[in-house]
Amino acid sequence: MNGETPEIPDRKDPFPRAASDLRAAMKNTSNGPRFSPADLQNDPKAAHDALLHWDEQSEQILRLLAEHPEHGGRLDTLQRADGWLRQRAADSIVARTQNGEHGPGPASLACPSADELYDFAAGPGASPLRRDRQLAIDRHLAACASCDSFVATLATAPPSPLILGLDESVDAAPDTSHDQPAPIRRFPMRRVLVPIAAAAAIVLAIGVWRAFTPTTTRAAWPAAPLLRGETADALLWPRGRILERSESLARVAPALATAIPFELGPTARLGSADAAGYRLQVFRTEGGAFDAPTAVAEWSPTSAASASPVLFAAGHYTWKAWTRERGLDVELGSRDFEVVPAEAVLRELAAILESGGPDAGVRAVALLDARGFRADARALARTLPPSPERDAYLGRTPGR
Amino acid sequence: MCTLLERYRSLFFHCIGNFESDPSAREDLHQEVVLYVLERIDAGSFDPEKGSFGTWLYRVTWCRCVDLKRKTSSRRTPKLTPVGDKVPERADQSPGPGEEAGTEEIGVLVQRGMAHLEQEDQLLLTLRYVDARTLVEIGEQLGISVEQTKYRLKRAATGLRRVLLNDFAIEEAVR
Repeated sequence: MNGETPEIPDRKDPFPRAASDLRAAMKNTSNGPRFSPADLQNDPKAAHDALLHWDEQSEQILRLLAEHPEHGGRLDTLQRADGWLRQRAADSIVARTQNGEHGPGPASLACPSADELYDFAAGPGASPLRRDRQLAIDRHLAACASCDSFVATLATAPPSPLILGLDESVDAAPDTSHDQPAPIRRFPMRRVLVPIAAAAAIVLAIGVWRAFTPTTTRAAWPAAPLLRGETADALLWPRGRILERSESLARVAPALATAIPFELGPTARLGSADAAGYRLQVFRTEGGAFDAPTAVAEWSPTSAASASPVLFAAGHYTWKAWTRERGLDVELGSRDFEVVPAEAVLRELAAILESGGPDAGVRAVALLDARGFRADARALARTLPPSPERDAYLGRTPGR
Repeated sequence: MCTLLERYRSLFFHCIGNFESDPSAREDLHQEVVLYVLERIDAGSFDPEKGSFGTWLYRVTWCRCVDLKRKTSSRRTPKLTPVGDKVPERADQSPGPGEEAGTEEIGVLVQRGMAHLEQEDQLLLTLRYVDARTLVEIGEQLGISVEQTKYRLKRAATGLRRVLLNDFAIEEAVR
């Protein structure tokens, strides 16, 4: 293999793509911002996603969307719709306050102080709020997008090392006597003993912590695998194992109990003005290589992301996708997935979610990822509050 | 003290990152927050008996960011002044006839969009936004936890946006 010519030059590839040894399989973009300006200009799916979650976007992305000739109007409609709903909530609060249901005065309409919001959202070191004040703020958040967005920023607590100030190599305790002269070192051995003692204490502390409190380990986002050679594939999700949509799943994780989302990648975007949409078809197989497939669903979405019109029972499936250009179907490829009941995983998932805590969602994502339900893990991750870790997790695999 | 604040630089930026995405704006906000924190420290606001310096610093930083954002940005805040309140001493910002018509139009769009949602999603949005119910009240009514209520509300709101976007696309196609 010299990197210049395909290995089997006289055999035509049914799906004409560049060989994986001719170009980088991994994307060369960073995992930083969720959308780049170019994505919004060129990728309808990215723009659609950005619009769907406009309230999670940065001001820069919102400005780009607002200035876009097509997306600007859409963003305006969505923002006005949100404002309309919140105004209904405000009207309701006023009406109920006037009826004496919420105590005297329209207090719920006045934005709470930042301190109260911090306590309500249970930020690090928060103080408990009175029950009536808690309910009033909760009600206020329905009417106030601004406060709602502030509270959302506290959904993920900062890592403990940041709170403890351990990420820098200076002494720990706040020192108010910094302008006093440094004491003369009478025992130079301290320079050796103190670091050794500190290191030993840290090792001991970690050992004790891991031995006695295994369940309190801070949840970490799983490292999403890089799918080498597949970034050019048009069919992104679903792939691999998918949790069966059942009543049990709806009880445990309602966010996952919806129709399976199907996502096509950037290579499948509608590239020409003549393109009219997509056609997706799902076949059920028995899992063997030579089994005759049976078509179980077919739909024609207009965007690269769509939900299946039917729920799939446990079993092996293959999905195929086509774009429609000039009245002709152009096949984009096919991909397998397997719907699995996975009661044991559901039990584990239920235990995590019921345990609550600020990182229950992250632990649930990590569990699903570890068990191979990566499409479900991604779906669950999307419901979590935005954070750099979440974006990095979602950004490392195709279909972001 | 500057060394101390420098040590917590990552904490500042972790918090500020939630409010500003632009690097230069983050730096500006960082400077403002650091000055404020120094003032608070000088005023003796930090009480070691109430908690660690890190948690105090995070709280002060977050609250300062919120206060500054409230001052500089009110774009997404709906107008919450109830009808009948005292008229403030400033220009009348109430919607004009054109805007009123736009509000009615968007109301029709939202109601039409909600009709396309699942029953539960409609119920969730109605309870939260039309009835202004708390998440606790909604959870109790539906027999689900507050966390599940949040998830489902988020899903319902996204579903509504999806419907609105589809409607918009159809309208554009018709034009």
